[in-house]
Amino acid sequence: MNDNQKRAVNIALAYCGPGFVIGYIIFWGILGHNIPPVNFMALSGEQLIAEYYAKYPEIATAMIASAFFGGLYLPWSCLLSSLLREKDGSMGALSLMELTGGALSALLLVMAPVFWAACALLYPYVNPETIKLLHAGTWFLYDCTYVVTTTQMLGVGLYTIMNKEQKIFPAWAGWCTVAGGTMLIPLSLMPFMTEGPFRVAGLWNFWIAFSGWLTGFFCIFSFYILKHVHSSKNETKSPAYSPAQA
Amino acid sequence: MDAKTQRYIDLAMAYSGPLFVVGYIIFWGIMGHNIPPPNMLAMSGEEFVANYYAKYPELPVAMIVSAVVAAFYLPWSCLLSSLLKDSNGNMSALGLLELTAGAVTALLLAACPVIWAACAIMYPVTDPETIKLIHMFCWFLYDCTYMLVSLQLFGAGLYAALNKEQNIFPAWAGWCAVVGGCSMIPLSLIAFVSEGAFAINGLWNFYIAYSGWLFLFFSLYCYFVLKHVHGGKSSVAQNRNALPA
Repeated sequence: MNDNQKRAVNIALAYCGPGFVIGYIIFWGILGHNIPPVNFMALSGEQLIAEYYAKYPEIATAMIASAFFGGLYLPWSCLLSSLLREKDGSMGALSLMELTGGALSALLLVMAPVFWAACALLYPYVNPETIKLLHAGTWFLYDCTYVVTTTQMLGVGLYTIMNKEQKIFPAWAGWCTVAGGTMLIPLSLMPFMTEGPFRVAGLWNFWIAFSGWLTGFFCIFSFYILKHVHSSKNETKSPAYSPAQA
Repeated sequence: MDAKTQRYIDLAMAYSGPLFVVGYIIFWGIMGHNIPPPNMLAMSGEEFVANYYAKYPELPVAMIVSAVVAAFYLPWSCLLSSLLKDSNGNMSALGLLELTAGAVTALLLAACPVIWAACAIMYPVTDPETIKLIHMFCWFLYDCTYMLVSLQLFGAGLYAALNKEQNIFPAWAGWCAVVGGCSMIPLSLIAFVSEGAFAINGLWNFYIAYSGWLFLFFSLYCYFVLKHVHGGKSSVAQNRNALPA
């Protein structure tokens, strides 16, 4: 692959990230009526169906489309990990943490909407409490496995903070990401709360935790990745380092 | 990143492995009453709910915490794969096999407990046969996808057994990991057997298969990884230093 081809590929991968976020906000958030999500822990199965699945017939389509856009998180995570290199151009353990944490997060972002789509399509034929169990179980899967996303954020954050020789990402961006990853920890409380800031749609466990990921990690790193891929015409081997350092 | 910082990172990642095992034994095994797990295939839905979810109210907390500690398997697997380099210092195909299989395994270790937590919270308002179905579904997902774990063990094992130039892991440890991976193959039978050695809580499919992973792979590799990172070498350069130029 020549440099121009590699640059074009990197630019395409870099735009997958914004593509994922915009598509997911539109389909999962707005059309999927998840901003904020329905507080299913405080509802019976029949109430959940009446207030969510039966009320919004567009949910099935929205969730299947979300599964498509969720997959775009994977190439963006791969590009990011390819930028987290050591002096000799190799990928270190922190870069592998970013890669695997990002890949598993992408799988969860794809898989959970597919289960919600199944609930949306099958609720007329299935016992409402079974629909609630599947809906809640999928939300537990979505929220309570936050540690894989935290692992991704710790990998990229610690690399950025501790690797003083790389020049793509500023150290403060790494601190923001570590803080954003840490802010996800109260998501473990979601299954046990029906009201207050730690419920599924609560101030902390929805607005602050999700915003922490979006603004503390994604927006910042997406900006610096786009800046890097649009400006670098001569990086081929070890893009995180200047020629003198590589 | 300077060598000292790299070493601290490697040490933290190396200890995430023991943290996962200890935490998972406490929360999934002891508090989650899974040593051994209930033999749900031999029970009706009502019997199963009465003997497991209704009997142990601590299960939701135990399972949610299990999902948190399970993810510590991920950084440990990443560190291990970063040590499995070829003579050029690049990650080998066996290293990538260990990495990807270890990552998927970490997700399974976290995902199944959260579904069991959902069963534990919702069983009072859900049909017992549905609870049994979801519980079994998760156990099939947990046990019958053993091939992903086996591939991780084969990746790490074959690298150590066949790569005579590296000096982090002895060849015998590699062969042990391969044997541990093979010992999981009968897990496919849990879906069809309700008693005997190949039942979900049977001699082979619980005690031997899980012990094979723990003692023939994890404990051995954990020991050599810790020995290596305490030796003061970083994950980036050390294995190349361990190989002839």
